[in-house]
Amino acid sequence: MTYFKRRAGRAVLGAVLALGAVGGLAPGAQANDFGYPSGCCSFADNGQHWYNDDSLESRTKSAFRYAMGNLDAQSVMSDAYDASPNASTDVEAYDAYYVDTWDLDWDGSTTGYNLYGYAKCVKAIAPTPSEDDWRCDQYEVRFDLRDVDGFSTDQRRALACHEVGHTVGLSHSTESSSCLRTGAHTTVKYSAHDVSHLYTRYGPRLSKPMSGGGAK
Amino acid sequence: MTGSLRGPAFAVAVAVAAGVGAVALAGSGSTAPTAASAPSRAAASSFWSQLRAPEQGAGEYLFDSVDALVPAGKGKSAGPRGFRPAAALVEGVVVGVEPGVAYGAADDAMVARAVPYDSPEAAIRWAHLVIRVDKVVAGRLGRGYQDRRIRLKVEQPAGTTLQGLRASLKTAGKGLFFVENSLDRANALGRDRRLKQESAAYHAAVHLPIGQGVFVEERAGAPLIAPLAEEDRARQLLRTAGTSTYKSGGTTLDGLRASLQEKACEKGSATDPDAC
Repeated sequence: MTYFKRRAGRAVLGAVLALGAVGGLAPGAQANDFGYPSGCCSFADNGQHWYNDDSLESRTKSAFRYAMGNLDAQSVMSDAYDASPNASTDVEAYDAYYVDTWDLDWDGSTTGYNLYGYAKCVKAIAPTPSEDDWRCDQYEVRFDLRDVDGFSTDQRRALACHEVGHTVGLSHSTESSSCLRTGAHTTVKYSAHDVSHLYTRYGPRLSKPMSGGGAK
Repeated sequence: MTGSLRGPAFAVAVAVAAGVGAVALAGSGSTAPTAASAPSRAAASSFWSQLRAPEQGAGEYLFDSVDALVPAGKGKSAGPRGFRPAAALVEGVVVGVEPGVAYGAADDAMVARAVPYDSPEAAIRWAHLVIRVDKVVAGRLGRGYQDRRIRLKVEQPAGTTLQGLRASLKTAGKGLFFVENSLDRANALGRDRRLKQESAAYHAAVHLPIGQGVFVEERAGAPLIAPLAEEDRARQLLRTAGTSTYKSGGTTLDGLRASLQEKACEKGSATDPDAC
């Protein structure tokens, strides 16, 4: 399950690229945290991000696929549809008119925060002596159709980009150029700062996953 | 926050409702090397830093000012965008932590499966903070308020343990809490039909933090923190808590209390009318 391995070459190249990205974005240096518990979300367990979105309705699925394609296009992680989902499929996506799933306050009537979508690690991998970061074997991503129904195409894509970002460890961002910012918006991409985070952790991408196989 | 309960969660509910230490039924937190108990969030961390909100969702806030949380007097209820304020604003101290409800992966279901609190299968855990109420500043407490205590339902982040939280209680300081009984809020929001008989007992026994409205002074005179809110949101809430109380060093407990007291007087919910 843990295909991801640290390699010196990757780390050096990642550091160079990260420095370049962050150096060009000085104000964004504090834009968001990465990983858990320094930020909100555990890292993905490796650089291959398998997903299953079979149960999504068509508009949500289109947005989700767009977001996965966008992540793949960063040339950092490899994303692929998993036709045979199991307990180690990295991301399972669902949508519904949620009320109290997981006892979350979906409409915000108690917390004051109306949830459009939510990414939850349901199979956490605790730190070990050889790997001191929290990783996640499987995330569940949920989209609340009560909100999504009223969204434009770009708003849906922005939301999917946001939740997919959580599944690889990105926290909320303060940058207007990042889909990880909060609220209803139409930013459908990751910022350079987000990508630099991803590169230091997962990059560079080695190969595309083989269809129907490979480490999840 | 109005989930129906099943199986083990119901056992906890009964224990809480009966005033029995739920710890005995649900365990006191695993010591096994599971995701729930890994030592990543060190036991030496302060109480509230362990409970820092792990926000993993996208959404929008429904109100801008902490004033929206102040309980309303009779005949006044909804605030901005229909947001219902808290039933009570209390000042108190966290004196205990108990296991509450845990759920596993939900997959395609609308209702997640309840699992034992210590289970490695738990994807989300809701703990109960036992709060000793020193003063009801505004509004009123009713159901679920016993022996000057309420149980506040908060998410227990992965990597924290009940033992770790209990060991750090002395760092919990004191605070102001906007709360409402879970069953009362469900009733008020028209969700009572979803609550089955057995889960109603659970909801009757616990309170919910309203609007992430928990403001804590970790040390006497220290600036307040809002541990259930994200950093930016916490700053926003504290800034809007009466401009006169927000200084460059932050808002103090005394300052916030005075500001909220004033608002409660305006809304007709202050418990001490002489202070108005």
